[in-house]
Amino acid sequence: MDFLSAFLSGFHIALDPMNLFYCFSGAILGTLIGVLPGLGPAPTIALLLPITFRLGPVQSTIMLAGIYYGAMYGGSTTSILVNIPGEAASVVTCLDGYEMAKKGRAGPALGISAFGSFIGGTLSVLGLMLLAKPLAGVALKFGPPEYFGILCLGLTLVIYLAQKSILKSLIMASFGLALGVVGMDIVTGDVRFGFGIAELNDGVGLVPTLMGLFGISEVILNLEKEMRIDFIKSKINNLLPTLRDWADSKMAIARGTIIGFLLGILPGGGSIVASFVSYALEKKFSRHPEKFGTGVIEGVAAPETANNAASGGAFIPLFALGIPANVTMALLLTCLMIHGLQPGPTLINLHPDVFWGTVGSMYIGNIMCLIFNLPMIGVWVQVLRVPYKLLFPLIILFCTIGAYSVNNSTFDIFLMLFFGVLGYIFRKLEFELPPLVLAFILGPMLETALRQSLILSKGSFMIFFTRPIAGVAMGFIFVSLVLSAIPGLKTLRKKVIEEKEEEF
Amino acid sequence: MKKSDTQKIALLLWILFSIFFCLKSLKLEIGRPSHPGPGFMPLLVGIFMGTTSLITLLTSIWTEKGINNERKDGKLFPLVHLRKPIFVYVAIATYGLTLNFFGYLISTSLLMFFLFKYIEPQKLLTALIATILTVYLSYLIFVIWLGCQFPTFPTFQGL
Repeated sequence: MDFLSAFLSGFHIALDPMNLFYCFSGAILGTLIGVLPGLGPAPTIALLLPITFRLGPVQSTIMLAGIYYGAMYGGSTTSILVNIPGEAASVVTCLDGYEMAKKGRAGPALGISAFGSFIGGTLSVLGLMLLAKPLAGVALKFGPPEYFGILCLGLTLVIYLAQKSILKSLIMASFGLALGVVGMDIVTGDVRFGFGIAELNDGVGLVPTLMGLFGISEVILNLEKEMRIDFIKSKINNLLPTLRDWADSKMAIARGTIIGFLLGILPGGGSIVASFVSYALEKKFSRHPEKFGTGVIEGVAAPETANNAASGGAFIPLFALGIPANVTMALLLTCLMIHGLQPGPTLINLHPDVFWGTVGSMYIGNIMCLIFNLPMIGVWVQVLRVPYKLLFPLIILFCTIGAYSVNNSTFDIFLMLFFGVLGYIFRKLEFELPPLVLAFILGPMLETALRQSLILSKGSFMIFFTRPIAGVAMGFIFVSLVLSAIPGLKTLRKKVIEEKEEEF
Repeated sequence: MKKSDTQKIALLLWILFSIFFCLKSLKLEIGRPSHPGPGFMPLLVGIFMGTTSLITLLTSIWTEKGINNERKDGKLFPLVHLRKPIFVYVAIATYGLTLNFFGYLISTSLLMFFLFKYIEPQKLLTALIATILTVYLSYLIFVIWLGCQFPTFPTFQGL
C-alpha cells in the first residue's frame, strides 16, 4: 500500500461514525482526566482496559490514544486556574500559568496553551506518520541484543532524568524488575515468587499495581492534608492570544515541538521530561530569563507544546519497535496484545488499519481537543468547582472497579491496597514511582532479550558491545551514568531540582 | 525520629529484601551464562538492588546530609493525620471481603455511603442521595452497558 493511499485509508477508518465516537469519547475523557487532579492518563487507561475487551483493536487504540493526548490538553487548565497540576506533565505550567491568571490573563494563558498543544500534537502526528514505517523497517534487523540495549537505555534515561536521587531511582528500577519476574517463567514453566498464591502464577497484575501506586496513594496523600484550592475568581475572557502573545510564543512553540517530539520517542523520555526540558531551554534562550516564573507567556507555551508533541512521538517506538516509551504506551501495548496483535516492526504492515486508523484519528482528535479547551473551557471550570469531598469517593470507586474487573477477583483489590500503601510510603520517602513502573513493564521483555542474547553468544556478555546498535546504546548508558557521577554536574542538577522545589 | 533516620531504616529494609530475593532466586535453577535458567535474572536483580541500597546507605551515612531534604521539618508519618486515610483503607479492604458475600449493589452502597459521610462530614440526606446516584450510575455504566461481571445480587458463599 503506497503512502498516500495508506494515509487516506487511515482517514477513512477514522471518519467511520463509531470510530469517531470512540475518538470523541477518548478525547473528552482524557481532557476531563487532565483537568481533574488525582487520576492521570495511565491509571485511567488501566481502568478502561477491561472495557476495551469488547471493542476491536482499532476502536480500542483510538479511544485510549485519545485519553492520552486529551489529558495533555486538560492538564493545563487546573495548572493555570488553580495552581495544581492536573497531571504530571503540567507541573511546569503552574509556574507562569497561575501567575498570568493572577494578573487577569488567564484567558490568553489558556488560549496559548490550547493552541500550542494543538500545534505540537498535530506536528508530532505528522512525524509519527513519516518516521514510524521507515523505523520499523530498520527494526526488522534488530535482534535480542539490540532490544536489550534499547530497553536498558530507556530505563537508564528515566533514572537519569529523575527529579530527585538517582541512587534511589536505581533502587526503584530494580524493584520494578523484581516485580516483573514474579509469575511463571516462559521458558521452563517454573513459578517464581508465587508464594503458593494461585493468582500470582500469571505475575503481578499491572492494573491493580497502577491503581494502587498512583490512585490509592494519591488519595491517601490528599486525605492526610486538607487540600486548599485557591481558585482564580476573575472572569476568564479573551481566550484568543493577541498578536503580541503569538510573537512572544512562536519560537517557544517551535522549540517545544521539536524537543517534545524527540524526547517522546526515547524510551524513558516522555511528556513530563519534555515539559521540564522545554521550559528550562526556553528560559535559557530568553532575553529576559529573570521574568520566568512571574507570568510570561512563553513559560506556558513551551511546556504545553512539548508535552503534547511528546505524546505523539511516544507512539513511534510502540508501533515501530513494539517497545513502550512510557507507562501509558505500555498499557496500549497490553491493549494490542489483548486483541491478539503482536506489537513490533511487522505491526504496521500486517495491521495497517490499526496504525493508519490511529494516525487519522489523532489528527481529528487534536481538533476536537482544541474545541474542548477553548470554547468549552467554561465547562471545565465548573468541573473544577466540584468539591473534593465528592471527587475522592468517586476516584476510590473507579480504582476499585478497575482493579476488580480485570480478573473478576477480589485478590486484585487487596493487591491494589498493598501497592497503595507502598506507593504512599515511597512518595513520603522520596522514592520516585516512574522508574519502578517502567522497569516493571519492560522487565519481562528485558529478561527475554537477555536470555536469548546469552544463548546466541554462548554466554558472552560482549555481544552487547560488539553488535553496533547495542554497542551504541551501551555507550549512551555509560555516558549517562558517568555524567550523573561528575561532581560539577551533580551539583548543578541538584541546584536545578532545589530551585524547582522552592518555586513549588 | 529524624527524616534521615527514617531513610536509613528504609535502606536497611531494602538490603534485607534484596538478600531475601537473592536467597529465593538461588532455590530456582540459575543455569549458566550460555543457558540462563529461571533464577538467573532474579539473582542479578537481587544483587544489583542490594548493592545499590548498600551504596546509598553508606553515602547517606558518610555525607550525613543524606539524600533527603533536611530543611523540611515535621514527622514523615504523622499519626494524627493518618486517621482518615487508615479508615478509608479499612473501608476498601472490608469492601473487598464483602463483595462476593453481599454482591455489588449492597457492598458498593455501604462503601460509598461511608466515604461520602466520612471524608468530609456531610448531611445524611446529601450522603444518601450521592450514594444512590453513584451506585446506580456505576451499575448502569459498568454492569449493564459495558458488561463487567460483578456479583449482582447478594450471595452467601461463606456459609
